[in-house]
Amino acid sequence: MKTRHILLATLLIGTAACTPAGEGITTEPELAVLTAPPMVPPPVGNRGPKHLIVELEVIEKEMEIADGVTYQFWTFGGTVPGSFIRTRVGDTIEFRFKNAADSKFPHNIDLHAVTGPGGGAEATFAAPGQSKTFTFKTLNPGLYVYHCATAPVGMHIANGMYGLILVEPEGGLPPVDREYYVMQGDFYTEGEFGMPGLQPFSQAKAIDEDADYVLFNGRVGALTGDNALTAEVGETVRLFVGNGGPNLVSSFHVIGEIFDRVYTEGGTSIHDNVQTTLVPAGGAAIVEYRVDVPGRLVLVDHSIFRAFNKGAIGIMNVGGAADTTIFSAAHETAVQERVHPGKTVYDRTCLACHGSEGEGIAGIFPPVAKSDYLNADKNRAIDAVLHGLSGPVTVNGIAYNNAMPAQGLNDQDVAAVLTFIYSRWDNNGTVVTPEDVAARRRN
Amino acid sequence: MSALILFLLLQLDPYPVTIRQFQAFLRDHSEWRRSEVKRIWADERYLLDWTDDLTPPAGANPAAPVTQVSWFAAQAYCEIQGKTLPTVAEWETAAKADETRRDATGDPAFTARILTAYGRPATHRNAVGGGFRTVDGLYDLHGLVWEWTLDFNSVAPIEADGRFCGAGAGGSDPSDYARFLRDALRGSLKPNHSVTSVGFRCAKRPAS
Repeated sequence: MKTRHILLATLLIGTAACTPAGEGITTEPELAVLTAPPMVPPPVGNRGPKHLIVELEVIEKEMEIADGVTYQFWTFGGTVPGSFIRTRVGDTIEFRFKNAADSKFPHNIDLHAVTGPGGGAEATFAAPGQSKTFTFKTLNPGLYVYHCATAPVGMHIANGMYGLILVEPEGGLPPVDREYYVMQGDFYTEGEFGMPGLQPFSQAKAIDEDADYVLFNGRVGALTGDNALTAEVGETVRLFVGNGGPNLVSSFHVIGEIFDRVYTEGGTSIHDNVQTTLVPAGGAAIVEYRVDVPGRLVLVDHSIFRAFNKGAIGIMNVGGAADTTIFSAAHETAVQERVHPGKTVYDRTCLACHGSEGEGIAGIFPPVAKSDYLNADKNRAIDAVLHGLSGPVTVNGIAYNNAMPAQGLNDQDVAAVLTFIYSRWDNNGTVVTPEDVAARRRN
Repeated sequence: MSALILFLLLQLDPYPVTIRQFQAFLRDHSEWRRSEVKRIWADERYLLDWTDDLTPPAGANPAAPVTQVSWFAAQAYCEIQGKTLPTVAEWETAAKADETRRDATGDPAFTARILTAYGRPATHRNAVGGGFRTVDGLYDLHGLVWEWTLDFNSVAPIEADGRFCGAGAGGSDPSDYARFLRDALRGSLKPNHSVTSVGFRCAKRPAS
């Protein structure tokens, strides 16, 4: 890595010598490429400062915040967090702000990368259907939060109105193999976590800072299952991590990795070898790590109940060859790997009826602890989770006649939760694989 | 006279002005048709969704509130009927009421109910009269459309004071998010703006 730094520096000196104008902007105005999370636009590399046009529209839209749960989000560009903006120090940004015609509310934007009144808030304050433009110069490199600053500010932010703008230094950030955009936010709904249907914003819970959801990228599961991030052994990963708040400070951590470098608070100073980095509400950090072994890395807010009970969890699947000199697990690894996420699924999906110790409620919800029904037939158990189970059954000698709905989980989660249940509470230790589940799903 | 007595003497229309009512107004007053209105009185979004000068948007309920009308057009409509737009103070006094209480704003459940109503999208397409009826016999003050007020621009815009930085507006209740939302909307408007979520109702003041 060090060699690359030196090479880059040499290149830069060479470039500077060829363009004596230095910081002068010579290019025509250019429309900036914006991306939806978790992707980021291409690096600035060695380019000089530019006149960049950023077009960003505020869109109010109902989206899923969890499976079966929707929320009326207010967004920058149609996603939570909003579109990622990538610039270089010295750029002149012509910021074209639009509030969609079908918005109900006025909005604006305060970019922390702006030197000037309100970060652009006053200049962009727009009624529904109106557009506003202002211009600023990026003076300080770093990773910055932007957010809406219209009253009541807390409510606009709580509804998802935040995102990140990166100002790269001269010469750009050092090249890496993968870059991703991850932003945390806390949400306050009338219904508790997971309660289905359209959930309105709860002002009372927001003021009490009593979050129902703490999420990466605006949705339970935005970074898990099919949406998991990926990397290959030997690659260096850079995460642009933001925290929109409105209330909570994030203890950002990746289970199974150590951050080789953290650009603390998104600024210029770098901390090496960090386990957990604090990301304040309205703040950011750039974290980098090289992945050395394959497996599943778990992104969490290490204020850990938020991860396991409120949704602050993401997955990075690392592919490639194992290196047993770095990490070697006992042969039960396959089971262990499924037990851990299985508990998450259990707590979210099963616990309300079947109990924290699998005890159920006699006569209403059958036990999954020491369950003759489960231990007798793995496929029957898989079917119950996949398709639901209605009508009379007998479990441990007690008759039940109730309806359990189909759970809408993917194969990996079904395998994980059943393996978890079988591994606990005097059950028989049956291992359920995603392949087992896929086979039953085809039946 | 006290503000309350003045308010009680005011006759606020029970419903916002509907598309059907505004269509009749346009028939009689060609200067307010989309193709003829002067840009200083109404911006380019004025009645933008209407099919033509006299035909409401395709599929629109004629009993839905008219929106995409500027403040100038709204006030002209009211004046022609011998009425006026209500002031912010008058409108806000009316809007404190629920079915049984003239002032329900101290009740957190009332604010929560309004915020939930505000959160529903595209409510301007609904017919008037679907909202709750206040003790004063008024409908749809919350959750159907925002409403123009005579002195909407007396609400301090963002740059004039600190209220839009999220602190409590001077003197008013910092927990009244519904009022914050209305004032933010008012502060974002100019009188020629024509907004899809903004309609109006008229008021008749007693002859003085």
